[in-house]
This record gives sequence, C-alpha cells and structure tokens, in this order.
Amino acid sequence: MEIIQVVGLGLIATFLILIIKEQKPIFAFLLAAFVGVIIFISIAGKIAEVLGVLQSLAHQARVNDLFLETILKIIGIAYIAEFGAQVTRDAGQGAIASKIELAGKVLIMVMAIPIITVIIETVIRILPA
Amino acid sequence: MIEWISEWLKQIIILVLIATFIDLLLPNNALDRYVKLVMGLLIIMAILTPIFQLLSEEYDLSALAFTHASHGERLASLQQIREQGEKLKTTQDRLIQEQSSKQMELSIKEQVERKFGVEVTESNVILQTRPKGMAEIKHIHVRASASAVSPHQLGGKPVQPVYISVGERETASPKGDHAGNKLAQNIASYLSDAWHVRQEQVQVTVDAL
Repeated sequence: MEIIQVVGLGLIATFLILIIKEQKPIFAFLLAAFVGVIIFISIAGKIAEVLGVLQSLAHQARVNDLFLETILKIIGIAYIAEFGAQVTRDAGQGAIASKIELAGKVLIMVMAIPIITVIIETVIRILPA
Repeated sequence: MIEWISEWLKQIIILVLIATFIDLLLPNNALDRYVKLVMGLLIIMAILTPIFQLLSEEYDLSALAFTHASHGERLASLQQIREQGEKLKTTQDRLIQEQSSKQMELSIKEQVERKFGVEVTESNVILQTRPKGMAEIKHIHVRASASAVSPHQLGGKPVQPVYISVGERETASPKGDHAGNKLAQNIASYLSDAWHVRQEQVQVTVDAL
C-alpha cells in the first residue's frame, strides 16, 4: 500500500470517528482499532521485504543463524508490543498499555539471555581460575 | 588466513548495518534501550567468535593429550626412543669407522705404489675406538705384488712369498729372499713413519711372481 492510500484511509477513518463519536463512542473506538490493524498489516508486507533483504545479506556474509534469528525475533516483538500498546492507550487504558510494553521488554531481555550466558562463560574461561 | 579474517569482518559489518537499520525501524523510545542492548551483545559476540573457536580448539587439544597420557605409553616410549638413539649412535660410529678405514686403505695403496713401484693387491686398515670416542689405527696390513718391481731390487731371482711382521721378523720371514724382505721392511718403516704408528702394527707381505 502506498503512502497516499495509507494517509487517505487514516483521514477517512478520522472523519468517520469524529462523526460517530457523539452518538456511539464504542463504535468510534472499534473503527479506530480496525483501521489501525489494517494499516499495520498493509505495512507488514513492506517490513517483510526489508527483512528478506537483511536475511539474504546475512546469509551472503555467513552470519551465524543464532544472531539473525534473535534479531528478527526482537524486531517482531518490538513491533507487536508497540502496536498493542498504542491501541490500548487510544482506548484510554494507559495501565494496560504499559503492561504490554513491560511484557515486550521482558521478552526482549529473555532473547538476550543465551547471548549473555555465552559471553560471561567465555570471560570466566579466559580469566585464570 | 586473509580469507578467514575477511569472513569475520564481513560478519561484523553486516551485523552493525542491520543493527543501525533496526534502530531506525523501531517505533518509539520505550523499547529502544532494550533492543540496543541486545544488538550490542550480538555484535560483541560476533567480535568474540575467534576467541570461542580458540578456546574450544584448546580444550580439544588438552583432552587429546590427557587421553594419550592416560594409556601409560609415554614413559615406555621415552625409553624406546633412548634405546633407538643409542642404537643409531653405534651404527653411525661403525659406519664412520668403516668409511675412514676405507679412505686410509686407498691412500696407503696410492702412497706405496708411488713410492716403491709395486702393485698393492690388498691393503687393510683396522681401526679401534678409544674410550673417549676417538679412533686410532690398530693394525695396517699391506699385501704387495712385486711383479712390477725392477729386477735389481729383487735380486733377479724368483721370490717366494714373504710374510713380514716387524715385531716377529725372524719367525715370519722365510729364509732366502733378502731383496723382498728388505722391500717389505722398507715399506713397513715408511708406513709407520707416514701414519705415526709403531712398527709392530704394520704388516707387509710381498708376493713375488
């Protein structure tokens, strides 16, 4: 989806939400969430292209598969957590949004645990016992 | 080596590029620090990869050495190596003695033939080794054929085989042929002079044809 289409969709949704908000606030929120999901999904295709390029580059340079996998998982977690947090914050639930962000942070740190373990083990092995 | 380094550098460069790209892609500041931390760890790990390989190889080597030592072959093999070394040394000494005695025989033959005009059919040098490891001449045996000797040296008569050893001259030499006897004596004294050995150690036999 091109940028004009995304912006047009966003503008139309905004006008509709402004009109609906007086009568049915709940539908206004639903519309906002729905449009958000559509924009996110349409952009996800582009992100997939970018990730494909990164992946092929990494394979050409023979980067360790563990590294690449970790990076891609981190990107995914960051995006999904970000999206969920924004939708909930739009609905006025800032507490839940911050919990979603916390979950994202924890999961990213869990991704980092194997790497940290390997590095610390190496340092300990290098140092004379 | 260069290939390996370029591979390693390529890996690091690609990782740094990807990290920058992801930094740009990330939505807002909330998750930024965490993602940056993890990417930094990944890059550190890529940089440390050679050290990991080194450590794992070292570990393999030490394990190999331990298994080898645990069979108890090390002491025995050292002993064997020493024995083989001794054996090789004695063989080498023997070869050196043979070679040098052969050279001496050749030069004695040449000297005697040039000086006395006889044909040396056989020359034999026996060496013995001193305790210090030096070799000395134990015995020289020369057998010359007097066919080429001029008649006045032999006295014009057919000569019987003469066996001369300087120490036991009386018993060894048959009576009669004084010319051959004298020639043998001359050769013996010449050789004892030239090679710095005692006269008893030189044995000259002159065959007269």
